[in-house]
Amino acid sequence: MNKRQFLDALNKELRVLSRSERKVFISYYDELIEDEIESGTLEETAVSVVGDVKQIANDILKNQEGTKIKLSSTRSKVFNIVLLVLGFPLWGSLLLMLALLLLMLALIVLMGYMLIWFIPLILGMGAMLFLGMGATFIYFLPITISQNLAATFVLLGLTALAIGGAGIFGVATLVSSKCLVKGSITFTRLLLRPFHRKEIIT
Amino acid sequence: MDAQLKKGFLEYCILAVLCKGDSYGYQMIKDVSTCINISESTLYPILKRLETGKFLSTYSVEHNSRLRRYHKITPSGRAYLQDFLKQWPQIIDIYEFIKEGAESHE
Repeated sequence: MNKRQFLDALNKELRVLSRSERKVFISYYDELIEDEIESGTLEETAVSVVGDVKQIANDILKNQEGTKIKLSSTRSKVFNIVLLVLGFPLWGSLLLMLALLLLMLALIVLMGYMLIWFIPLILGMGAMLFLGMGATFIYFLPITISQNLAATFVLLGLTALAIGGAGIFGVATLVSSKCLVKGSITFTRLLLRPFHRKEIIT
Repeated sequence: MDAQLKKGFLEYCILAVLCKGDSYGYQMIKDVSTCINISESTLYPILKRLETGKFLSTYSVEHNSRLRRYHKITPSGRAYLQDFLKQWPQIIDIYEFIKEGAESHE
């Protein structure tokens, strides 16, 4: 058995102890074996001089009484499962609350998107309305020409106004949509940034 | 030698070795072994106990690109050793008492 095997075996035998406690013993025996080798002993002999792993581990564990010893892994597993089941009302409700909170957050974000898109929608509807009005006025123009000249002029003015309004609303719709598309993309990116994995290109 | 008795003596032997200068595990075993047999696994708990009792302190020194743990006797360690030596007449008395009892035929 070489030093590495010895120390690994010792580490395994001492698994009931905490990692820091094990480290102390491992470095103690590591040093002793190294010093033994340095004095001219062969590695395998140096290890056998130190003694039997099981015997050493038993002595250590006997002397270790009174200090805290880790629960054995199987017992702690069962214990954890029991705790998990018993604790369900607590962690279950917490989990549910967290899920609801996340859902609400998602809904708020979705509503935010929809609300923001209402602006171009209303603007677009306005443009359509003015356009429709303009078209109606144009439709009635030939009828008024034959009956009342004054009414024709008023209608002409109104038509011009309607078409102008439609133009203004149309431009406003286009501009606001463009801004919103840009804004939405930036906002979505911002929202998703925490989930993006940063890649380093070398 | 009786294990309990040996354990007590070994503590003083370690402290006696450290009075001559700071030392590390392997060297202490070699030094003490000239008087009483001591194994690697018995040394550790003794060192631990002496350290907990503040009779010795430890520090690490790099040696051949690894760490070696040195032990240094403290003033209270020296006092502890002196106390033991002072107790010697009493120990002789105990020995005589036991011997006298063991040799009596009644």
